[in-house]
Order: sequence, then C-alpha cells, then structure tokens
Amino acid sequence: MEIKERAVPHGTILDVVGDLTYANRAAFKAAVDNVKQTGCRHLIVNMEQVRFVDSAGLGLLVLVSQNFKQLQAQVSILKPQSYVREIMSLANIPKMIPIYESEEDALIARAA
Amino acid sequence: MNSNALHHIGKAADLSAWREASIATILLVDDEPVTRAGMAARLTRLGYRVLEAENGREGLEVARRERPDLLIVDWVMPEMDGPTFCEAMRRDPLLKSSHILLMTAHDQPAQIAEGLARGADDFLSKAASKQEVTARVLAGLRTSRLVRELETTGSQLESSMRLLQTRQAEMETDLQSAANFVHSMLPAQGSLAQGISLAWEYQPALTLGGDLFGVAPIDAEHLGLYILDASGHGVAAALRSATLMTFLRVDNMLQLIGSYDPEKVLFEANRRFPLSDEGDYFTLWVGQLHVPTRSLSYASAGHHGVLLNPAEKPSRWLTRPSSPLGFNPASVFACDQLTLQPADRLFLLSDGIYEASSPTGEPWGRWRFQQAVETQKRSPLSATISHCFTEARRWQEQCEFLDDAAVVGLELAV
Amino acid sequence: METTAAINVSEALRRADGDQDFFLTLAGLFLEESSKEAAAARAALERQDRAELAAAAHKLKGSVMEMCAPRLFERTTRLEELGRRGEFAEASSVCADVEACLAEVHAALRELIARGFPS
Repeated sequence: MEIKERAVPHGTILDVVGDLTYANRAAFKAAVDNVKQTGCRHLIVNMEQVRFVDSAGLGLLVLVSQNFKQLQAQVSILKPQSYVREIMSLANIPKMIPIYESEEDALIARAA
Repeated sequence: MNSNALHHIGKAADLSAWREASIATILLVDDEPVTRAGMAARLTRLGYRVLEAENGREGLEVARRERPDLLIVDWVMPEMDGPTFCEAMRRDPLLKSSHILLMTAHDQPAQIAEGLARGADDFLSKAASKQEVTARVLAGLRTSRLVRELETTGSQLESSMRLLQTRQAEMETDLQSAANFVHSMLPAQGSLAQGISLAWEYQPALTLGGDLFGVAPIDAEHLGLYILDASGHGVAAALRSATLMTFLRVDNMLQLIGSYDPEKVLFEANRRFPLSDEGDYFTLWVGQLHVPTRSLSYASAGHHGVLLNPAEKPSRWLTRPSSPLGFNPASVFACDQLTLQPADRLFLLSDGIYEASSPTGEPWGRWRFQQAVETQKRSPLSATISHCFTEARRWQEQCEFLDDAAVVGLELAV
Repeated sequence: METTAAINVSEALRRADGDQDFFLTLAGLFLEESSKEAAAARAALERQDRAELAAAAHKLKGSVMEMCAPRLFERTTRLEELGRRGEFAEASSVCADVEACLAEVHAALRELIARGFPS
C-alpha cells in the first residue's frame, strides 16, 4: 500500500493506493500523524484506488475520524470503490464520516 | 525458577573468564617415560600446567576429570594407540570437542591423513624444536579457547531456549485455563425452554476465541441471546471479548438496566466499550425472545451474521446498516421485531465460517451457507450445523479455520 | 672424546633449554628405562616376534631422542624398521649394534652425572 500527501485549499488529501488492512495499519497511521502535525483542519482520504478494507482498516478510519473531531478538525472520504462502499455502509460509516464523489464537493461542503 | 537459570548462566560465564586468566592445562599421553618426562619439562618451562598419563585408558580418565585445554598424545602406544585414543575421545560427548595434537616420529602424508581422519586436530613431531612446539601448542590453545567459548555460548543459548520453552508452556497452560473458563460460560446444548432447542458448534482459531455467544433465560418467559465478534487479532482481542461477555451476562444487565431489551443493551455496551487505541472494536447482535408468543426483538451493532430460516419460507438475513460498538458514542440502536413460527430456525454465526477461503482465495460466502442450511432443513438441528462445518472445511480444503468459526442454532418445536 | 661422540652434549643441553639439573635427572631415568627397552627388544627378536620387536625399538628410539645420541638413534631406527619388516637375520646384527651403542651412551651419561657438564 502506498500513500501520497497532497495539499489543497483548506485541507490535505491522502491518496491511498492498495489495501487498507491490519498489515498496512502502521503505514496509514504514520501518514495520518504526519498530516495531524501540520495542524490540518480537513483531512480527505482518497479511496479511489483502495481495493479492499478489512475490519482493522475500518476501525482505523473511525479512530482517525474521532481523533480529528477532538481536535476540532474534520475527516472526509473520497470516491470509495463499490465493494468498499458497501462494507462502510453496513457499518454505518457515512453517518460519521461524510463520503464525497469529487474533491470540489468535499472542499465546498466542509468549508463552512 | 527464573533466577536459578540465570544464576547458572552467570556461573558458567565466570568459569570461562577464570580459565581465560589462568594457566592453560595440557594433558600428555605417552607410554615412554623418558620422552614423556622430556616433553613435560619442555611444556612446564613454557609456563603450562602439565598432566601426564602413561596409556590411553588413563588418559581418558584424566581428560574426563580435568577437562584439559589441550592434549598431546603419542602415536605408537601399546593397547590403545594415539589414533584409537582420538577416536575414543570423539565418541565421548563430554570430550569430543577437545583439541588433540598427535605426536609422530615421522611426518609422512599418509600417516597425517590417517591421523586427521581418526580424530587428531594437528601433529607435533618428536624432533620438534622448541619454537615449533611453542607454535603448535599456542595455535592449539587458541582453537581450544574458541571452541570452549562457542560451547559456553551454545549451552547458554540452550539454557535460554529451555527457559523460553518452559515459559511458553506455562503461558499455553494459562491460556488453556482461561479458554476453559470462558468456554464454560457458553450455553449448554439441548432443550432450553418449553419447545425450544439449542445446538451449536464452535471452533476458535486460537486457544482462546475472540468471537463469543450466549443464550440464557432472562426470566420465566424470556430468553436472551447474543453473538459478538472482536475486530482485533490474538490473545488481547480474545481477552477483551471475555470482558464483553461478562458484561453481557443476564444478571449483570438486569442490575445495570433492569431488562435485556436489545436496544438498551447495545446502548450500554456502546458506552462501555469504545474503540481501543489501535482502532479495535466489537460487533454485537442481541436478541430477546418472548417464549409464549414466539416474539423476537433484536438489535445489532454492526453484526450481520444472523439468519432466519423459517419452516415454510426462504431464509433471510436479519441485517441492517448499524455502527459497531465504539464507532459512534452517540449511537442509538434501532430495535426490530418478528414473530417466529413453529419449526422455524434461527442461526447466529461468526464470520469465520463464511469467510473460509478456498485455496484460490474465494470465500465460501453467506449464500453457500444459506444453501447448506436450506438443504438440511429436515435434518436435526445439530446435524445441520455439523453439515455447515463439513461443507466449509471441504471448501477451504483444510480442517482449521483462520478466524473463529461459530454457528449457533435455535429451533422452535413443531 | 668418546663421551662427545656418543652424545651430542651441547644439543642435548639445548633441548633441555639449558637446564643441566633437569637433563641429569632425565639421564638417570634414561639409564633405567633404556636397559629395559633394549632387553625387551632382544627378547622379542629371539622369539621372532615382529610386533613386539618393532614396539620395543620404537620406544627405545623415542627415549634416545631425548639424549641426542645420533649413532644410537640411527641404529635404533633401523632396528625398528627391520622389526616391522620381519627381517630377523639383519635385525639380529643391528640389535647387537644397538646394545653396543647403548653401552657407550650409558658410560657417557654416567660420566656426565658424576662429573657434570664440560664448561
């Protein structure tokens, strides 16, 4: 799994490529910690290239979301693939972490 | 027990340090008194401590007793010659790594080859100059010291290994005890209440399973049931599951909230079990069955492993989107209700059974589980569950499940 | 003169690292042992016992080395070889040589023990 950090107006995007799983949790955590340290107010996790998420991956996403909420910051998810979307729906993730289909939508909706 | 083992290791290290600082001991084995005395004097003059033996048998005894740093052995001796002595040394586990110089009158290649083959490490000519004797002895002692150090390290490693193995065995025993305790809290099979029977099969991936379930009477008319799934792996997750299982005990819940209403149980569990620091969590399904009316109310926190198998209708999964425990501290869990009919079956399952993968990586899947259950509708409940396990094992082409596999079945009498 | 011919005194002393006292002690031991070993060789020869003859000659040879007596050493070596090969006829005359040389060496050693080393 590879993660690239990318700055956008009023936020940071993490482009994730590969599987978000137990095996890759350390790398994901490290990437998020990096973003947190910059004082980012809006983290967008781009999941367009994520094929698979396991229970550990789900938990990690929610943990990150809870952490950011405590810091008065936000987390959004971008373009999940259909299988991943379904898993997240079953776990009611959209109620906690908004899901968007484009970067613009994400940035506009959370700019307020 | 720990401290004794460490003490033993400490002592061995001290001994080798002492040997390092002290004078080397050389054992001389030669049947001829004059040459023996001459060589002994030479070695003593060089500063070594010299022991003597006049034949092979005596040499072996002295070697066992004194563990000399080096042996110098005459080739030609009656009864047991030099090469035979070397062979005897190499056969003895206590002595086999000793450093042996064979004393020869000649330096013929054939003789040298034979000596080496039969266990000598090096050769020393009887006509050797003082310099040559010194050089051979020093070289031999260097090697001997190296071998001794290796042996000490080797035996230290062995001691550590044995200690580790003992500790591991103790841990396994403790784990087995914990597992026995937790699993003793699993419900008994058979007839639960008037007209309801229970059967289950459970195969945890490790000694202590992380996916657990419970079926117990709440009061004279109600049965409480649950199945939980831990997201983490290993013993830590399993221990947390045991905590949740204790929390979900009927007596505890009655004390806490006065009922076993599924949505209230989940609400409390959600508050009590947040996400761990690693992002671990539980999924949980809770049901309450009112036996006289066959009314089942239930709620789920992210658990989708409950299948209703009605007697006269196709089976369906009792599932809706819901947050696992700890995802959202403010979660409210909706309660659903249905009325069971006679001969209906209800299955609670952990994902280990339907996520069983074939060698090509394809999961057995919830649909195939449904098929298995449907085709076995007329069989006894326990046989149906057994059949599911058999099919899953056949699918994954192995006996052990990678994740905890549990199937709990309830059946209403006709 | 005979003394120095039978034994290479300076070499023998060098072999003993200059320890005169030690050499004289060793010489005393040699006087005892070499007689026994030579007698054993003669007995084995008379019995035509190859193995024992070779063994006794070998043993004697070793001790002779310590005394640095070159002629005696050469004769003893030859006796060992003949014994190994079972050539008893020649061995017999060589054994006589050994006994003669040994007597010379004994005399020289007794002289050294009595008088000490030449300075």
